[in-house]
Amino acid sequence: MRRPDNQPDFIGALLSMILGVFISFEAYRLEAFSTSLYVGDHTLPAILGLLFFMLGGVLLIQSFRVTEEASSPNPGPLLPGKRLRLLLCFLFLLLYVWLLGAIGYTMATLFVSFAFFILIGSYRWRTSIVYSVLLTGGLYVVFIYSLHITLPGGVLL
Amino acid sequence: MLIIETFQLLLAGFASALTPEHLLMAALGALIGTFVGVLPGLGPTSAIAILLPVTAVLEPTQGMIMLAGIYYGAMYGGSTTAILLNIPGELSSVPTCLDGYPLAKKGRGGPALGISALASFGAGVLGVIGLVFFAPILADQALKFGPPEYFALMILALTLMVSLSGGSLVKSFLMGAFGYSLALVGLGPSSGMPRFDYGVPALVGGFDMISIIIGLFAITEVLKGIDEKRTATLMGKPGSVYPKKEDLRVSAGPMLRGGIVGFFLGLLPGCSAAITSFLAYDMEKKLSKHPEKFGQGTIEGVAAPEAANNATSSAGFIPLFSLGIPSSPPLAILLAGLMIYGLTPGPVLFEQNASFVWTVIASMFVGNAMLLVLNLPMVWVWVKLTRVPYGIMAPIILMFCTIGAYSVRNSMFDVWVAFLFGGLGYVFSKYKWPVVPLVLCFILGPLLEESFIQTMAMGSGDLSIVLFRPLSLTILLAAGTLLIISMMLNRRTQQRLKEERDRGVDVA
Repeated sequence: MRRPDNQPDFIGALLSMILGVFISFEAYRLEAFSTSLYVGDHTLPAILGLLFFMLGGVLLIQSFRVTEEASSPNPGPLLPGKRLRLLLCFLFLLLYVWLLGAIGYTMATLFVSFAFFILIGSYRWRTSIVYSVLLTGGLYVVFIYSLHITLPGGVLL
Repeated sequence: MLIIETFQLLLAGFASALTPEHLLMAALGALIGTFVGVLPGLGPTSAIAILLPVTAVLEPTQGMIMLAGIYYGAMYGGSTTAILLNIPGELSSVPTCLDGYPLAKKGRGGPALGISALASFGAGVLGVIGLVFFAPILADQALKFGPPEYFALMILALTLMVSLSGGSLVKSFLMGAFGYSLALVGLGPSSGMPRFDYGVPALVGGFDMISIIIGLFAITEVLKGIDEKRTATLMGKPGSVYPKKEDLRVSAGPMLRGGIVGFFLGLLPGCSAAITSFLAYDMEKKLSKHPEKFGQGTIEGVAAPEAANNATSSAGFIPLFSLGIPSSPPLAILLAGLMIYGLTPGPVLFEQNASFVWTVIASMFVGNAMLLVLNLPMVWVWVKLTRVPYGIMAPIILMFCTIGAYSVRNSMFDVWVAFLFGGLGYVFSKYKWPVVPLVLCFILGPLLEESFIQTMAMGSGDLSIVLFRPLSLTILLAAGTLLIISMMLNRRTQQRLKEERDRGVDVA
């Protein structure tokens, strides 16, 4: 079987078509609650489901054509070091959300910002500790102390 | 509504905007808007997205005034990075880079920044004048707007997909459909039944637009910055920011012509600032006696596109306020800001919230004036800010985004959403899927569905009712015409962008 010329678009097209089917099923479920076949909460989902499927199909066909975009220099895969740093940053973001609930805004921000200063800025751990204390303290003064924004307390504050 | 009555409302708006506390808000907005706007890699859209939640803690008038200051500050910050660092935060700043950066290398970045601020101020004035004349006409039509007319307006908004597509129209429409789909999550408007919730209680309340905006613009930008390992190098000293008489003399014509082109084309929804700034630059090059100097660092090459860019942004307020259609990414974020305060831009806006709206319009003007008064003398501060290492800025922005996403509804779910959309936005950007149509359709989604269902109910399931009402038919015909015009202009702009890319300009 011929491989698509633009593989990312091919995958995007398939995902769009799957999303179309997914949305159509929800439209079908919602139709049961409506008094009219054409007017109700299901109408727009049904149209969008069809649109996703059709446009996904068009993109699927396009992904087999050599277009200017497909032939343009690809950004290329990330270098392993960069990829790892990016992935770690994203994982730390997700960890941050969990920590916010578990140990509270202040401690979570102190810990995660320390990790970010090391990861993104490549600072030494002592410098990172100073920066993270300054950042956490600064944000505390501006948002919690001055603007009285309520942030998650957690078990440690 | 008569023009005199509108003028009186505008004066009342100025009276409200010029109180000390409101002036302070405008000044703060202009300063922090510029502060974030000049950070390398953050364009005006990301800057406004990051700062939008900050305004949410203020009372509505103060919040909107601060937002106006942030908008103009961020736009000016975008011009600063384009001129001094050759980093166009938005496509519309690419023509500014062509001559702005060579000027900065010659040590004349200061006058280029001064001309840019003057052009922005002039365009802002044009925008306010336009609104004074246009608002009464629209207010008169407001009562004729029913669901079919609103539905036709939503179709008109789809013409924006062309100018926001960034290349592939199919991807643009798919992203738009994704935005509409996200807007469907939550309670259905006619049955009140939860949709797309899959038993998750947090999904019943739907997605918050701020967390999606923060994710797609701010967090994505930080992730892109980590990927690119951003470093910024400033070329030469900017010199005095106050343009000389000679600079003003040679820039006056290009500024006026660029302003006129930008303003009148900017009135058309679907005509982005990228289109008009390229048009103005090319027009000035054709009219010039020394076209060979363009691209080498000529002040006319900065004045024309900056005037066009800012005039389009200012003119964009007219379709935004009167029709609820944002014609550029920063205006789409601003629309979200208006909606936080319960203002739904559209034909009845001037009827229902006249005093508030005119205060906002007056504050746009004040925010612009703040730029001249505060930002120009402080250009050295901004220049130094561009040297702040990315390793320090990125964690600060990420922590800011977290507070922003959380504070709107005090919900951890919104923080999850912001981070997940940040990751998604990075993937979208990597594979050239435009995110602005997603945001635009997410914002307009509830309006589209409401008007669609009501129109269908009015026509007993027959949508053709839209074709039999004069106003909705006129809007649909205008949508068709605009679609053709914006496709033509967009093709031209894409061609010009390709030319500049081939010449080695770092086009975002």
